[in-house]
Amino acid sequence: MECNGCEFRAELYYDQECQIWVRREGDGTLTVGMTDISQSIAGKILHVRVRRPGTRRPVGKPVATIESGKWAGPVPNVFDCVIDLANEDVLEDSNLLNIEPYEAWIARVRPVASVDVALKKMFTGDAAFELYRQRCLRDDIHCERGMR
Amino acid sequence: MNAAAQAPWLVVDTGLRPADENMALDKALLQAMGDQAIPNIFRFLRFEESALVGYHQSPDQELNLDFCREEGIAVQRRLTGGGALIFDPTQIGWELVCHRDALPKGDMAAVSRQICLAAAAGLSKLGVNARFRPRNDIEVEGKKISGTGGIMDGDVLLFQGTVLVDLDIPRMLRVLRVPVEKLDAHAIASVADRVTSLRALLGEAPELSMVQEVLLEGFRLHLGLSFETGEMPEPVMALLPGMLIEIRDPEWLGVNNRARDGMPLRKASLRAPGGTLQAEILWDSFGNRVRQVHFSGDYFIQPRRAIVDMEAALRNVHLNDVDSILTELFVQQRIDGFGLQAEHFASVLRMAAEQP
Repeated sequence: MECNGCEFRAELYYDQECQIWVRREGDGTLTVGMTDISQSIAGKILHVRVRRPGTRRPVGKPVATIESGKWAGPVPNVFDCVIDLANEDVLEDSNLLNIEPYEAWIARVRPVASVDVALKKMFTGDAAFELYRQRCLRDDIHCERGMR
Repeated sequence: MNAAAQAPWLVVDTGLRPADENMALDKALLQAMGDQAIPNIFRFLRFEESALVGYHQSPDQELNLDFCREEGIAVQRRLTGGGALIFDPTQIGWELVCHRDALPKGDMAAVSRQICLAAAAGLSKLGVNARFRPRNDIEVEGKKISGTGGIMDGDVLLFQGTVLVDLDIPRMLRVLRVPVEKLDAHAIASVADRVTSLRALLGEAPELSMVQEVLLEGFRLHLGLSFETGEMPEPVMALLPGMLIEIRDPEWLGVNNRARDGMPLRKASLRAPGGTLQAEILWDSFGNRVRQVHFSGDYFIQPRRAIVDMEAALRNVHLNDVDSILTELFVQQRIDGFGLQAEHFASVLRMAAEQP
């Protein structure tokens, strides 16, 4: 599925503004990444920093920060969690976020409440696609993937 | 831009302050804007002598910390991206804090461009030919006079820039880590080819108030903004003490600390049909990136500014991307190296990166 060239994956969970995607893992963790919308708005990403494993990140405190073209910005966080793991490949080559945003995950986190409670605040499937589509149209976002 | 964007922006001049206070005010402004507690703000700020690293930078890798300690130069980390810089009381900082919809639509590069075009239009009113240089600089005749950077947090953004009113190049070279081996007259002349100040261009430094006024005029003309002057709003001042505690916590400055030898200075020379080319680079061995490059050697190249533009385009670039960036620049600017081609510049960079 897509809108304005921005890829959407219905099986993932999204925040209200569709800035991040989240995937449920079998071990009670959640994987967090940036959507195609976010990587396109950011442009070529030059830095990614993930807080140390074990760090608690309450709602509003970012799991990670990125930098592109001298813009710094947090990767938003919508549920209380503890960092479990950072994706070393992305830390080493942040451009992967531009090239394959749904494969290049950023961090694996463990929700402080349950996974179900964390995902309750997020959107998936058709409901998420409607938000995604609205965001693309409202802000006139057209996606482009990075190249290597 | 929405209706709220048309309301006058509040211009606040927070005067000369220590770096930690300026950073804490930035944090407070972002939060107050996110809380919808303040109008759009255009702030002028000045710094007691300071060395500021970008949000993701490591002070150990970017600065000569021993010199800063000896000279009492404050070291701080900005909230915004970009590279390390020095600030002294002669320089003027300016920044916009607003919601995303207060500025023209587009991606972050487009927003930077519009803001820099506005600032350049303003500075040109001083009688200098100021222009936007991608990615985020303002230049006069090929020399940088203003650098910029931003932070985007949800739909709140803070974008800031400097204006070099005066410039002490030898001191700058002692504070900042630059890709040159020896800080001699040649190095100083080389920086003077790349950076300038209003004093150097105009013969004397203009009044700070005049620089502020032309900057505002640039934003009026280019982005249609209107302004009214006032005091820093109370919600910001109420947040300031808490933000100062966060900024003064060593965790703030040290959060990205990486060893200095993780970013070594490396150099290589290449003999090519058009002459001899030397590249000195600060090399990020973890990320395989050229962080900064300085080209020198014995060659002719046209246009003259091609070298400076190549150096600007090659900041923070992955080694795999060097060839495409240089090839594109050679085509775009119709660069003639009299035998020196884009691939020679790429080769000498790779040779430098691969030095043991």
